[in-house]
Amino acid sequence: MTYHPRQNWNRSRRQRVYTRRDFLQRAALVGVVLPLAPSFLAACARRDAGDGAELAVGTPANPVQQPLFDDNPAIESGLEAEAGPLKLYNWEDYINPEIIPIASEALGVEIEEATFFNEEDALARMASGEVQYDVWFPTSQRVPVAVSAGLIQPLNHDYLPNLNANVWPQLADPYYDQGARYTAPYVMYSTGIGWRNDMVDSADIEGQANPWDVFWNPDYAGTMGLLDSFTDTIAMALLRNGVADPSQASEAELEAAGDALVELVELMNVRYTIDGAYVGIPEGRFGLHHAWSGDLVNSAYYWPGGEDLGYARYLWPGSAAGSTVKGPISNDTMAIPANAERPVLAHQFINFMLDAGNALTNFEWLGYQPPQNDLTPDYLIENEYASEDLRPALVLPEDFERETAWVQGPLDAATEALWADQWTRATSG
Amino acid sequence: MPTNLASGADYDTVGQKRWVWPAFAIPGVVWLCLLFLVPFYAIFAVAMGYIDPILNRPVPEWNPFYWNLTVFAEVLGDLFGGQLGQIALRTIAYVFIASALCVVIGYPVAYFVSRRAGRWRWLWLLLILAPFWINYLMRMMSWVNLLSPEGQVNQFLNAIGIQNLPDWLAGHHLVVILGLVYGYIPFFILPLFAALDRIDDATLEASRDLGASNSQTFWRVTWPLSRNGVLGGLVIIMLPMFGDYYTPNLLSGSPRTRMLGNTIDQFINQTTSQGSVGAALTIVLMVFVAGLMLYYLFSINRATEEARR
Amino acid sequence: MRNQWGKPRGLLLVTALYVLWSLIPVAIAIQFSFNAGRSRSSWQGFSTQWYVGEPADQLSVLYDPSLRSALAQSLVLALITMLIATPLGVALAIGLARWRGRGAKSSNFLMLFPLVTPEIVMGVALFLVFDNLYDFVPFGTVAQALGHITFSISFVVIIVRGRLLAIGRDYEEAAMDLGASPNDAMRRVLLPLLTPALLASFAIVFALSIDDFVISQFLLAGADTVTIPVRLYSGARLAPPPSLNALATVLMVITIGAIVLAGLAMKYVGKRFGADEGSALETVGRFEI
Repeated sequence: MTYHPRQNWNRSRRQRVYTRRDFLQRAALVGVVLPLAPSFLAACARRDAGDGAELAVGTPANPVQQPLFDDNPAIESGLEAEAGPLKLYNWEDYINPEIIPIASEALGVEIEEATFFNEEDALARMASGEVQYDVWFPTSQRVPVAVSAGLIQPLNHDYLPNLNANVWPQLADPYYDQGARYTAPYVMYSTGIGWRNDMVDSADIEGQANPWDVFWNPDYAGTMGLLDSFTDTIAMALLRNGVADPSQASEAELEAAGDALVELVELMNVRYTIDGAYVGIPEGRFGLHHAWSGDLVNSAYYWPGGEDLGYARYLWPGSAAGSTVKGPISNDTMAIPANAERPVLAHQFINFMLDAGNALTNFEWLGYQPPQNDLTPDYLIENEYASEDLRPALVLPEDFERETAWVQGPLDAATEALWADQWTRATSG
Repeated sequence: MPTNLASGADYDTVGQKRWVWPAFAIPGVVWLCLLFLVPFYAIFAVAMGYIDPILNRPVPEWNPFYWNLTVFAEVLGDLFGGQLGQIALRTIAYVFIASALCVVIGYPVAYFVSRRAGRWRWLWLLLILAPFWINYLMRMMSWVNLLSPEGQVNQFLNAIGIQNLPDWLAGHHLVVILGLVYGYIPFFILPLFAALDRIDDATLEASRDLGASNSQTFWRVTWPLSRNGVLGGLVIIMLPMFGDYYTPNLLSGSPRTRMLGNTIDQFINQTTSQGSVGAALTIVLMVFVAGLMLYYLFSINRATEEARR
Repeated sequence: MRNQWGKPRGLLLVTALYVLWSLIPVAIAIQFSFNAGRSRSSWQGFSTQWYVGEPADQLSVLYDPSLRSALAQSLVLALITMLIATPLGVALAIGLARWRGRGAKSSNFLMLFPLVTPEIVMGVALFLVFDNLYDFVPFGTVAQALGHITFSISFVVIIVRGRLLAIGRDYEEAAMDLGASPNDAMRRVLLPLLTPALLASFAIVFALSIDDFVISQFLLAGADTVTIPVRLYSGARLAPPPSLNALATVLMVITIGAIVLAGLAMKYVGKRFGADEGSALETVGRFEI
C-alpha cells in the first residue's frame, strides 16, 4: 500500500515536500484503510512528486546529530523486560547462528529472526507499518532516512552500559548519529580489492598510487570480477577516476565512470558477482575481485579441500601505502523500530551484542569486525581469528578519519537514477 | 420428477438454476482478477508512477489520468539508440537463432518419431518426452558442470589432444544460444509431434498414388499440414525465451551475453529503487511478445471452442 | 510391410543423436550425485553419501540445512498449491463449460491469459503488487503459494474441461429422468465421473508447482523460502559438492512420480470416454517450463 503524496495538494499549491508526519500518517493509513482505497481518495487532485526532504547526513568531517521528536520518545529507564519472543530483522546470514541460543539464554526469551536481501525493500516494509520487529540492522547511510521517516526510536543509554565501555569512541559517538541517539554500531567494513597472490602479481596493487587501476589491467582479463551491487561498483569507478566525493559526482563524472566500466566488458571480460570474492577467490574462479573486507576474512573457510592455502590478499585503497585515491568505508548499526513491541528486551539484546565476548563469537562466524576496544587487529590475529596476511582486511579506529576514507551517504532519487543508468550501461556489454 | 425441466428462463437444459454455473466460476474468476489482472495492471502503475523522494523507491500511480511518462520515455529513448537497444537487439538475435536451430533439429526428430519410428515408436516417444520431466534448472546445471574448466568437455578435448581451451562459461554467445536450444527444444518438438501425428496416412499414400515423389509428398503435403504445429511450437518456445534470464546467467554471467530478462531481473530483484525502470522494461517485453501471446491465446481458444461443439 | 518411403536412416541418426544430446548431460549429473568423492567431474566410486550421509557432516540432502530446507519448501508449496488450485480450477471449469450468459466469454479469456503470459511478466507483476498494493501479504511462502496457485488454475481448467466435454450431459440428464434432482445429479453423477480428471489435476499442479523457478524466485523472502529450483540456480555456478546433483535428482524423481500418476489418471479417463490421448499428453507436457 502506498501513501499518496497528492493528498494534501488541494490545500497547498506549493511543491509537495515530504515530511516526517507524512510517513506517520502513511503508517496509520496502512492499518485502517482497505488496500485499494487510497488510489481513489484523491483522484481529482493533480500530482507532483516533490523533493526537498530534510535529512541529517553526516560525514566524519562534518558529524551530525539526528533530530529528536516529541512524539517519538525513548523508553523510560528502569523498566522490566517484556515477555518474548524478541524479533530481529537482519540481513540474510548476517549474525552467527550460534549466538542466537546464547543470547536467548542470557535474556531468558525466545529469539526469532526475519531476514532481508535488499535494504531498500526492508526499509519500505518498515515504512508500510505492516511489519513489527524489535531490533533492526540498518546500514549507517540509511539512518537519516529511518529517523526522518520515524521508523526507529531513540535509544535509552541507561540500558546500554556496554556502548561507552566497550565500543571505539569513533563509533560510540558516530559521525552519522552524534551521541548515538538512535543507533549502536554493529560491524564495520571497508570496500577494496581482493586477490590471490599466486594468480595476480601483488606489486600491481600494493604500492600503487591508484590501486583501483588493477581492475583495468588486461594481464588479468578473464579472471576479474566486480561486485554485483550498483552503488558499490559505480562508486568504485568514480573513486578510481579521482572523484573526491562520489555522492556529489556530476553527470559528466558519472558518464566517465560508466565509460570506464563499459570498457571492462571487452578489455577484461568482467563478471559481476556477490560471492566471487569469498567463494570465487579460494576456488580459483577469480584471481582478482572487488570485495568487502569481511569477504576475504571469510574466504578462509571456502578453500577446496578445507585447508586455507593462504593465497588470499586484500587491500583497501583508503589506507594503503602510496595510494592517492580514496576507499569506501562504512558500518552497519543496530536500531529499535519505533513500533517495537519489546523495546526493553531490544535494548538488552543490543547491549548483549556490544559485549566483547559475544561480539567476538559473532565475528568468528561473520568475518565482519565489531568496533570493540578489546578486539584489536593484533588480538584477532594472535588468537587466529584472522590471518596476518589479511591484516589489511581489518578496520582500525582511525580509518574512518583518514583523508582517503570515503563514506557513502544516501543518494537522492534523481541521482540514484543517474547511477542506475550507468549501471545499465556497465552491465549490458 | 423434473417437471421444471427445460421450461422457464430460470433453468437451463439439465434443470439447474441459471445462476448456478456462474456461481461455480466466480471464485476462480475473482481469484484471477485479484491475482492476475490487478498485478498485471500494477506493472503499468509502477512504470508510470512516481519516486518517493525519501524512501527512494517507486510509488505506483493507480489512476491513469496522473500517469507519469518520464521513466517510460527514458526507457524508450534508450531502446532506440541506447544501451537497452543493444540488449534488445541481442535478445531478438538470440531468440531467432535459437528458434531456427530448434526447427532445424526438432523437425526431423518429431517427424521420425511420429511417422517413421516403427514398432519402437513408444520408446522413442518416451525418450523425447523425458526432458519434460526434468527440471529446466537441473538440465542447465548439468551443462554448467560439463562446461566448467575441469569439466568433462574439457577432459575429453584434452584427451584427444586439444589444448588451450577457453573458459566456455565466460561469456560466449554460442554457448548461450546452444543453451537456449537445449533448454527449449523439447517444448518445440512436442506440439509438432502432435500435429504430425494427426496427419492421416491415407493422405500421404494418395499423394504417392498420384505420382508424387517422396520429396514432393513431403513439401506439398506433409509440410503444409504440419505448419501449424511448427508455428505452435515456435510460439511456445519463443514466449519464455524472450523473458529468459537464468540461462545466460548460468551459462555465462558476463555482460556480453545479457538479455532483456536479465535487465528486468536486475531492476526488479536487485536494484528495487529502480523498480519503475524494471516495470517499464517488462512492458517493452510484452510489446515484443504481444503478437505471439495473442496468436497463442486465440489458438487455444479456438481449440477449446471446437472441442465444445 | 509398407516401406515405400525408404529406410529413414538419416532421420534415425538425427533422432538418436538428439536423444543422446538431450539426455546424456542429465545422466552424467545423476551419476555424479552418487560419486564417492567431492568432485562432479572425476568419478571416485559409488556412494549414497550425498543423499543420506552423516548427520554431523551436514553435507547430504538429508542433513545439509540449506538443501533440506529447499526440499521442504518445495514440497510445502506444492501441497498448498495442489490443495487450493485444484478445487478452484475444477469449479471454474464446470462454471465456464456450462455458463452461457454475459461474462462467460471474457471470463474464459481471463482464464486463458495466464497460460500465454511469459513467466517473467507474471513474476514482475506479482512482485510489484505484493510490494506496493497487497503489502499485507508477506513475501516468502504465502506470496509464493498465491503465485503458484494463480498460474496453476488455468491448467486445471484445461484438463477438467476437456473431460467435461467428453462426458457431455447425457449421464446427468439420464439421472434426472430417473428422478434425481439437478443437485443430486451433479453430486452423484458428474463429480464421480470427474474424479480421474481431478486426480490428474492434483498431480499436474503438484508437478507444475514443484518445478517452478521464476515465480518462486521473484517472491522469495529469505534463505528459508528458497525452493529446489532456486537452490539449483543459485548454487550451480559456485562449484558445489555433488549434494546439489543429489537434490536435483530427488526433484526429478518427485516430478516423474507426479507425472506418471497424472498420466495413469488421464489414461483411465481416456479409456472411458474415448478422449484423444495425444491431446492429453500435450496438455500435460506443454507448459512445463
